[in-house]
Amino acid sequence: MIQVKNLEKWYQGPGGTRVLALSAPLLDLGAGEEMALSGPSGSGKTTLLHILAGLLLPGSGQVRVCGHDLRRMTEAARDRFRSAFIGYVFQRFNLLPGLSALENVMAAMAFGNAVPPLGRTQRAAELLALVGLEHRLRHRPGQLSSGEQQRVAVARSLANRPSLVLADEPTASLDTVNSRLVLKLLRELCHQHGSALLVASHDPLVLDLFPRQHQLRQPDDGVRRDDLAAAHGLA
Amino acid sequence: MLLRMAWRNLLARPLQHSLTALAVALGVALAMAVLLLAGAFRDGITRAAEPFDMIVGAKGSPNQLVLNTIFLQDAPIGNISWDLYRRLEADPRVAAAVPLGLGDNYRGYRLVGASAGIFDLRSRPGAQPYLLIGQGKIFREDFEAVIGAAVARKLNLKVGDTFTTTHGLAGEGLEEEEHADRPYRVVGILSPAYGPYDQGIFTTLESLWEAHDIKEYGDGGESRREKGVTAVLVKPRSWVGLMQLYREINAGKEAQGAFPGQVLAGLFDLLGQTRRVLEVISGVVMAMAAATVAVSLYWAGVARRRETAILRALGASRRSVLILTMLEALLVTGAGAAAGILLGHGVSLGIGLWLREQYALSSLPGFYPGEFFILALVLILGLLASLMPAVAAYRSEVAPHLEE
Repeated sequence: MIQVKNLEKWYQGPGGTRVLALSAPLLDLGAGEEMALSGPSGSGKTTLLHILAGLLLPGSGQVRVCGHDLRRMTEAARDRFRSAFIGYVFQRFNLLPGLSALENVMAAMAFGNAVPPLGRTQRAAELLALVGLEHRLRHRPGQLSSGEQQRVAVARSLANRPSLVLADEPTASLDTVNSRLVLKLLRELCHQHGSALLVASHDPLVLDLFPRQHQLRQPDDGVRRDDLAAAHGLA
Repeated sequence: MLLRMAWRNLLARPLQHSLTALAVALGVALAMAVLLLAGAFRDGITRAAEPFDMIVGAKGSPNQLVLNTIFLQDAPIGNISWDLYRRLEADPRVAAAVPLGLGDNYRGYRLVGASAGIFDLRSRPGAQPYLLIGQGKIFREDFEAVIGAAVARKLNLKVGDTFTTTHGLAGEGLEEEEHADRPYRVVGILSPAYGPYDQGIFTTLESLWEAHDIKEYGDGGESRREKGVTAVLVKPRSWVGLMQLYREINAGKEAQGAFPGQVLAGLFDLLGQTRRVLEVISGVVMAMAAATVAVSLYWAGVARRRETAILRALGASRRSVLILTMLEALLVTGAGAAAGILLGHGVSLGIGLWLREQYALSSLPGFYPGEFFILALVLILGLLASLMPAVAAYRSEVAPHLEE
């Protein structure tokens, strides 16, 4: 499912310097498996997830996801790849504020071919029922609690029956009770759908749930990268 | 789904997008009103002139002759002799000649002295007469009057009512002199002709002369017929005969012949220049509306970069976000254009009704065949205006905006 070897991602720093944002010598995840990705802030967890989702181009090294060599794909091909194979759960939910819970889940299906148009409403409603939100279908994100919003995001991530779900600090904006609930749902639904799951977190409570973990180390090029990563929208 | 997203995106910023749509609506409404009113004005004038093939009147400005005989506006140039009228009436090339005398008014509405032949004028052979009696009958005796529909409505006159006229034309600023001893009796009211004659009061020529003879010359004074007539409406037997007559009259020193159609064509040219100015103003307003759409969508796009990034993260291509922005532009401009067309119709109908009320000059504006063209043009403008924000959305990077 995921094969990463000697992956590095560099950014252009101030004054033309090159800054190493991510160094992942080896990472391997099979179909239907789950894994936690840990590491301190600035170690490149989000950068790695973005690369695996095809949102960022890898720098050097090898990256194969769901059988696709992401380095050789055009941007349009990576867009299609993302809609077909990847589900994504963000730290800040990232629901579209103008759409209802149901429409947010359907929005993910609009860009892929996994679900035929006539079946999308039913599929979205079923997924929201699975995360316990069958009574919130018409609510907008602003009318939902943080925990409910993240549950919508979990339902959305599975809309296209993805082979791989990437979750970036999915509990960081939630209290303990909701964190446990969201993680439980995420793992159960991925298991039901046969989707592999990679969860990036630095929360020990989350990490303890995953028997298999991969730790990213702080890239060592002598440059502080917290600020740099933040400047690139990465944590 | 993209269409629904575009619509929801617009609803998310109702004030901003309503103002944008309003700017488009005002531009379209102005353009529509100019086109509709110009068309209606032209139709109204042309329709009013249709029953009159040629007008013969005193030498002077043909515009003035047409304006005061057909539109009952402006002051008459002067009179032509009764003999000339008799010669025209007897001319074998003339099917009908209707003498007209203008001079007095009743509360601002012109008194038109004419022969009964005026009620037989038609826009074309076989058509119904231009002036139709709605109530009562046509005048038979002196000091009997048939009043236009607008006169009856505005002055609340009914068949059997009487009134006295005032010497001179309304609004001339001359000292008015009332013919109090010669009251007119309403014997008929015309059906609405939706033309200037709705504002006329028709009576026999003899009534007009008699009122003046008595006032100016006294009984047994100067022969009434030496006063002449203001104009003669000529209906020809043939077009060739009409042209011969036209040339002969204009070659002489006695009178002029004027073709209303020709005179109005000249007036339309003048109006056309005004219309072109208004069209340019409409174009400027439309361009400003397009700029408003562009700026509004651009800033909406900037404010929505995170949402665009989310869509991209869900698998939307750059092309999809480009189309989404263009759909938003189409919805805003489409809504604005639709509102503008309705507003344009409303405004032009209001002005048309006012023109009809005041001058009986205008047909009411109806459907304009170029409306779909305007709608298409506005949508194309909206699409062009969306290019800048759409390309900005297209080029927007995903990762930096996902966790904003």
